Amino acid sequence: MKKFLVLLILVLHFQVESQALSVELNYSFCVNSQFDKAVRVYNSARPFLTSKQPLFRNGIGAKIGYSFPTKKHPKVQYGFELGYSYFDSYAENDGFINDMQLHTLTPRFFTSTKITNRFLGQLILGLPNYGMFRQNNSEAVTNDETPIHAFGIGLSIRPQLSYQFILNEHISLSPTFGLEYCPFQYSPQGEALINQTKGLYTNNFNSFFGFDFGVKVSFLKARK
Amino acid sequence: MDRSKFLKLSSLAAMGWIIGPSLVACSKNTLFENPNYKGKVLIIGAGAAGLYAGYLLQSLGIDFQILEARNIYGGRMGKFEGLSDYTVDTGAQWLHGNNSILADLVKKSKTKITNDTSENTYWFQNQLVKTLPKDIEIFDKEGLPDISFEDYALQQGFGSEYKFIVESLAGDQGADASQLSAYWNHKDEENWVAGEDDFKFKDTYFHFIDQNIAQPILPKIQLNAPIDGIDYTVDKLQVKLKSGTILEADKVIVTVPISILKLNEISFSPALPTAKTEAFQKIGMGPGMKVFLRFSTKFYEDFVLGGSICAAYADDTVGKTTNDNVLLAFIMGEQAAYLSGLGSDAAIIQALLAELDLMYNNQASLNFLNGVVFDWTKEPYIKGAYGFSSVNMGDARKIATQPIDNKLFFAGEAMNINGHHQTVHGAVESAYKAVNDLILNLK
Ligand SMILES: Cc1cc2nc3c(=O)[nH]c(=O)nc-3n(C[C@H](O)[C@H](O)[C@H](O)COP(=O)(O)OP(=O)(O)OC[C@H]3O[C@@H](n4cnc5c(N)ncnc54)[C@H](O)[C@@H]3O)c2cc1C
Repeated sequence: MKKFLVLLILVLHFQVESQALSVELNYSFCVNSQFDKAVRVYNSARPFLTSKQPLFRNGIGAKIGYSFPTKKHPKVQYGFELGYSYFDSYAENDGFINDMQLHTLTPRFFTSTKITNRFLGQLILGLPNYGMFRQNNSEAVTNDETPIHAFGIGLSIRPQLSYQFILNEHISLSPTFGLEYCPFQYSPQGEALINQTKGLYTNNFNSFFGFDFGVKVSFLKARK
Repeated sequence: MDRSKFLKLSSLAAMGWIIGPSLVACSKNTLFENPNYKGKVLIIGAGAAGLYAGYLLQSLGIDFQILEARNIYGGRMGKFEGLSDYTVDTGAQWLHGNNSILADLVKKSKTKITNDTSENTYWFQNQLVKTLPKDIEIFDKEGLPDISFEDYALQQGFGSEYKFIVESLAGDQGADASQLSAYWNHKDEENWVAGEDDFKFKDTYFHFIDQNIAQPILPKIQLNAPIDGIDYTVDKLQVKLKSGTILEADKVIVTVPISILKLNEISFSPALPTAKTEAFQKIGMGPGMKVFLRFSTKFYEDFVLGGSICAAYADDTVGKTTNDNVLLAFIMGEQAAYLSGLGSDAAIIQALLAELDLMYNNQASLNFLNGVVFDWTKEPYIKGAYGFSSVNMGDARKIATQPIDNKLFFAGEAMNINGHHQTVHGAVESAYKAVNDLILNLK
């Protein structure tokens, strides 16, 4: 691990032309048919709930990334980023509040290429990690005295487009739009957490599809 | 087609393949949106499963009727008012866990429940003890063999002195220790996600189900309507009542106890597939009874396990508003069969008092006021306690619950395939599954 870190620092240090640290805030939209099914089961099994539990759809996210161009191909950059998104499904019925949260944390590797001077196309590979939690009336839902959590891990592929506005020598601003497809494996607790059954309908292998758009601020470093 | 065009087209097709279904899936938020079904559904049995199936169908605007053999609805849930200053649950009484459809209904309806945290006391080698010399938690682990609780306990060095402790654990599952499979029972428990706490209703479980589920569908419940047979050869199913009346339906949901199906008390025409009838046989269901004993003082612990006449006694007043002292004898399997065989309620009560006298230095007979027996095995349309996982059970539950010809659907606690069988909330989940199967196969 230590060796890897040293190597990484060396690569970052010597290969750089104009490195950029970037921070992005985004809106995310996701569709996951198995989570959807689990929420739908939750809703249709409980006609007594007048406020339906919403599907996990709209989320917010943030990313922090670091990119550096290659010496050979100045139009091509590559880099790493860490993305976080948060989705929520909340319903209140006569004081009974059911709140479920889906968190994803994704380390990604990307290569980007300039399509025009301002347009950047990126291809991103990621390793998303999912965590799902649930509370009833602010109390964690438990089984055997421990809160029920559900976790998952996947492999994502993501094309992304961004348009760069250079504000000054050091800062650029880019609206971004990305699509993401992610087959993933989640623990059977996912279904248990959402609709309180296990093995009834959903299957543990599944895929996410999503898109997001946001604004990225890049802090450019001068050429060495 | 040149290469780049081909690549473009295939990537578009791939995107469509990924995005298309997802976007279609976005459009609705319940599995049951507007089924718009005009057929008639008959539900056999008005226990938790039958009532919830009706409740779901009503919410979907589907025409249904529930046919119940007995003169009351509720099945293995019931209430009795004549024993003490509060109403006792003659059948189900604990809401197991706070994570289920019914637990959500409790929260939504603001029904009063109390967490029953009674601690175990054991009757072990003629003494009441708080802990056992050896930890008996041997059935809750991976890799257990498909042998009975009794055999596995012996194999693990728990000799005859532990017999009734093991019986109490099996009894909790509605079984004899000699029939309950260590392996399959554990498999089921692995699926259990309802939570471990046991809650008691301030009123009764029956009252809760009655108020929230039965009342809204009351006009659709026909009592005193025992079913004799179901003919599903014809397009419209024909349901024959014992009275000779024949009712027609497009779909039938059967929710009678597994004991009734095991005994072929309802005939099917054509006969059900052999795999299904074999599956019914593999699911265990043994005898069960509850006896309530009222005393002038409370001389007993909250929860006593390991009696040779009754392996589980519980203070019934936990969670109730009462001035009375009522002890519940929860009797399953061999012990229930033995007591049932004594022939009269008085004899059953005498046998229990004798055991309690032994435990509590004759306090039971001295303080006894009155008692009442509910023998579920003697109920002609119930015939036992609840379904358990017997040795060699395999996939029996899954096979038993499979619909037939998209016309006949099966529900009820024993048909619950996600570890919640034996319970009211499990019966409700099985009803949901049956209705779900019915609706999703309409097209
Ligand atoms: C003593 C005892 C204690 C229990 N304690 C608990 C507890 O604390 N907590 C818990 O969750 N569960 C408990 N249970 C289990 C729980 O009661 C059952 O799992 C649940 O009530 C079963 O519901 P059901 O709808 O599947 O079956 P049932 O309630 O048995 O309903 C089936 C219905 O079908 C009817 N029927 C049968 N034959 C015919 C026919 N030929 N024609 C028409 N109708 C017919 C029956 O009369 C019955 O009403 C207990 C059970 C017993 C016996």
